[in-house]
Amino acid sequence: MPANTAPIYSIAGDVQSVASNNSGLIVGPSANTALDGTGANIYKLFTAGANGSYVQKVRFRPVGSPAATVCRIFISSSTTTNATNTWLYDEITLPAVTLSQTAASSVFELPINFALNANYLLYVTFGTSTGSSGTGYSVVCVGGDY
Amino acid sequence: MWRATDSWFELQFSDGSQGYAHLDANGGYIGVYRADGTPVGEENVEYTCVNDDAITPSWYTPE
Repeated sequence: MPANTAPIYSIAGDVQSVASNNSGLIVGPSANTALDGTGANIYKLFTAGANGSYVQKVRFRPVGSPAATVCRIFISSSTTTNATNTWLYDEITLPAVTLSQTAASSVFELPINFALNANYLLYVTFGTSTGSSGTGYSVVCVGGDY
Repeated sequence: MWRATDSWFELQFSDGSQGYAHLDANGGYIGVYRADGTPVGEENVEYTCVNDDAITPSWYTPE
């Protein structure tokens, strides 16, 4: 007999971002081409709660006029990422964007929609640089803690 | 349009060496190069853009 036949719901919203986890960082100027979670320029996006978290989506909002790149999302069981405890989960193409003061820039979303193990983490890397400091993407993760 | 013409980023790799990225007018990547013009291949690299309005490197010859 299944151990749990009743749906569960998150008890509290949990919205985190690369900025909130990395002193206001705009992701983009620094690239990391590795696909295994190794190396520098890998940034913590979300940490699941003590009872796990449901992660709905990751949202990418351009800041300035970033060049084209790919964002890679990694799941990790540790705050010290390596090829064993960190796994490439998904990628999203982020096109070049030209800043406008009269029109909204495009926004991009990556659905996640699954429960993350307790204390597991999401990390992001960019495959190329989007420009100088301050030019890139605000990366926000929307979820809730159980 | 991202920029009117192609452009160059000046890069600093994680080992402290310099390099360049060449981008087309749409903001797409044409290539990433070491300071001497050697293309970066499939190896894992980490770098940061330190100047997104760099001058064209001397070794570059338009095709």
